[in-house]
Amino acid sequence: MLKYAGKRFLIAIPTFIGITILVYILSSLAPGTPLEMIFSDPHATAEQMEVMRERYGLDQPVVIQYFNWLKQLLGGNLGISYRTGNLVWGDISERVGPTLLLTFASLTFSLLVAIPLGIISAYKPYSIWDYLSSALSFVGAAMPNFFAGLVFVYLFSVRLKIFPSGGMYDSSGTRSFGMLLHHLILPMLVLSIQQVGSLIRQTRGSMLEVQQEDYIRTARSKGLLEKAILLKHALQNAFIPIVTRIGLMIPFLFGGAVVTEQIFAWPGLGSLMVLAINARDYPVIMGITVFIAASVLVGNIVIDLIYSLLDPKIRYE
Amino acid sequence: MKRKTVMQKALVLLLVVAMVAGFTSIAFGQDRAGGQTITMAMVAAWDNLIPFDTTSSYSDVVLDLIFDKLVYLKQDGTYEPRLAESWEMSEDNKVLTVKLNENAKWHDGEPVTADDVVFTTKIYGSPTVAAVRQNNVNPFAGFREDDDSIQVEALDEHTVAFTLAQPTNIDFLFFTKFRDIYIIPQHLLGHLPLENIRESDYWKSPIGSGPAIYESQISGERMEFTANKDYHLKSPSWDRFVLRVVATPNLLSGLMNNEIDVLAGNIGSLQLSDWDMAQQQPNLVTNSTTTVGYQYMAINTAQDYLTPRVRQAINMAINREAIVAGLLRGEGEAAFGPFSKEHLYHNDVVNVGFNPEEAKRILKEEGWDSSRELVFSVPTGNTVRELAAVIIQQNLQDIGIRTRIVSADFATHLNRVREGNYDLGLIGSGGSPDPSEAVINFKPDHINNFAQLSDWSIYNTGAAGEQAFSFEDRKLHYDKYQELLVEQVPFSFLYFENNLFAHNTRVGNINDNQDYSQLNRDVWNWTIVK
Repeated sequence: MLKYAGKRFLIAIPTFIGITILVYILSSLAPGTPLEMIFSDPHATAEQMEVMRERYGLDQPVVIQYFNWLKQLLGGNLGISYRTGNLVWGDISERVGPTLLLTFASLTFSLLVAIPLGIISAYKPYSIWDYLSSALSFVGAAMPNFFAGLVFVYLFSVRLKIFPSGGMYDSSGTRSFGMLLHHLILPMLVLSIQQVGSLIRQTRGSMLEVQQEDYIRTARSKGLLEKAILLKHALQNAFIPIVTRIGLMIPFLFGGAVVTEQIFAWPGLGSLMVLAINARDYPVIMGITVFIAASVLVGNIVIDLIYSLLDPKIRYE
Repeated sequence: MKRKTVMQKALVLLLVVAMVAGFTSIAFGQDRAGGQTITMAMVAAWDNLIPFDTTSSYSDVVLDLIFDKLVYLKQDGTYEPRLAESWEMSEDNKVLTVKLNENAKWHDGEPVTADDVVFTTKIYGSPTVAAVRQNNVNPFAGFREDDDSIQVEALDEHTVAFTLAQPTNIDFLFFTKFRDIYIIPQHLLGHLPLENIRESDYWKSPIGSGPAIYESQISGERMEFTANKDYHLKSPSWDRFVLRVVATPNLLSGLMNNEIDVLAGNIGSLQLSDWDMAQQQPNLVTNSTTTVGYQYMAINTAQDYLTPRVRQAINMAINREAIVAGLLRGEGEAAFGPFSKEHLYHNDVVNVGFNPEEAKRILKEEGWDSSRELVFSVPTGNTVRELAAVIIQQNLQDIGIRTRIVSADFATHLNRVREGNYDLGLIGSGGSPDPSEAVINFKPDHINNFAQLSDWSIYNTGAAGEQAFSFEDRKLHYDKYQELLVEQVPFSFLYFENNLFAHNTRVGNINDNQDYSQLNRDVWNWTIVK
């Protein structure tokens, strides 16, 4: 297992480097430079832009710029943000916490809602529960985050006045964990809604398929309790495609967080990424890419390892 | 089903905890100690807190709270004392003498002195610092010769003399140069080597002399302040100030919910679709305010097929009234030049009107090739402007000019326009009560010569106005400048968009939010009504 994990990790390194090359080249290919935004002021001069171009090394060819960046990265330095003048690592570390909180809360919520609903749907197909959860999953899967965000704000914030419309805390000057949770709920629901939809369908499908298997029939004929059949025999086997689905959710959650964070002014990596892209702040764009790429790659390795825990038949060489 | 029950319980618990937490939060507008808090919203985050190293309007909102500027600028073209108590220009218009308010203090209790003002201008103009905002001090003699060469000196503890390189109009100085000069403390920064001044920890929690004292921030979400009760103009009646970043679609819901007290003005305007609903809210005061900011279409004069006559035809083919009535729902004004009808320097003769028939006639005379397709570069991010592009495209189609809209993010668009890789391009400007604001755009060797002009006449006429001293003299120059713009049409001006402003009824004395477009807000005058 350890050997396999090590091997997967080694394979992840070129993938990671490939991602960084792709993002660096793509962001550099767009016409214009960060200088356009720094000097969008009408009184800026060409001479000022030249000084800054040299300071940031933007006068070098893109390939050299990339290797300079990579050299910095290997030295543990992500560079300095063009937009804020701060260390990129400092800007990112301020934003990681809110994004992880939002994505993990959303992941947990999605699992807590979708898996039981998926199981019920599969256990009693074509029942009212099945229709309800199917309706929920279709609505969830079809509703884009920005639209769900606006609808939820109108409903829960403006009309019902249950939840605040954005931010992490109110203006009272104290910042409690309870206040944070209260502000977290709407963005978490919005980020979850699409994931819940697809996860319900996945769980239902897997469970229905597993229930046709011989060993389930055998378990039933042996007179096992229905609960034990469903949760122990069926669910455990149905879990492998569900876990795959969860693995695929991680990048989607980070992606969805960009939109959700914008709508709810949630100060995470997503809203920082939008600011960085608008300002062509390459060091920050690359810094966030490194962070998200690494998270997704590690997430995938972890998912792979979970397979073997779920199904002893899966053995890694 | 035990597992399901546990899951359900966990979920219910989570919701209950969060809701209880929310409901037990304290009464609106009050802090834990019972003090009064004002929450202001703007739509994007600041970049940094270094006054000389940013051009972001969002940073300016923060800087204007923490630091002081010499004067308070008003959209009607006048200005009032702020850190400066009085000012006088010498007869030859070469030396500006400013007397500072003797009661002004830094947030650490030290007095603000003339040395601080001298220090600030040196930092702005220092070649070693190479500040992004260095051009704010470029009218002063000795600019950028060396780190100490700028000719600004302290005459006594509270009097500063600014020596100008050439005679200069005082309004021009205050509106276009001093607007972005925030006075920074010498006693806290003066000991630092100039090359390292940006790296100081001071900028993480800056000490200024403005109406609000920096307290804390959540990067990209909020900044919190306490009132500077010793502020020399007036002790604020509020106790805390919270500046929050709120997405445009959520501004109205935040106001309706009492989460936001006041919008930031030019960078926190309600969207048009929310305007009717905002006006119906009993807890809000709404105000659709005219602004000096405008949208225009730059025309690439370097393209031989876009002759002055063709440009004139394009200018008169645009149905600005339809844009204002349809897209802005009347909350704006058609623009025919850079100055709105309310602007002191507006010239009535520049109204080109809407005349597609005349435009067609001109095109025929000019032998316009109707198979030619113009590249129409449109930046994304401003919905009204993007929709205006479609109307303009239709207007031009109606007179026989085909266009292809090419949309791009602002950085790409700006690069394309600066490099001249376009035919028509939409851009916006914040405008200014001072008429010199856009003159730089018509300087043939300047990077922001978007229209790729090679003729100096518009620039020279506008620049001459910077060295004219009476209103009447300046008006003559800028009347001519506006006439030349209509004649040569490097830009086709489109519309002035109103600022859709709102604030909660609990905050009072927000008298003239027009002035917020000048990057200053008189927050020290704001009061808590109830």
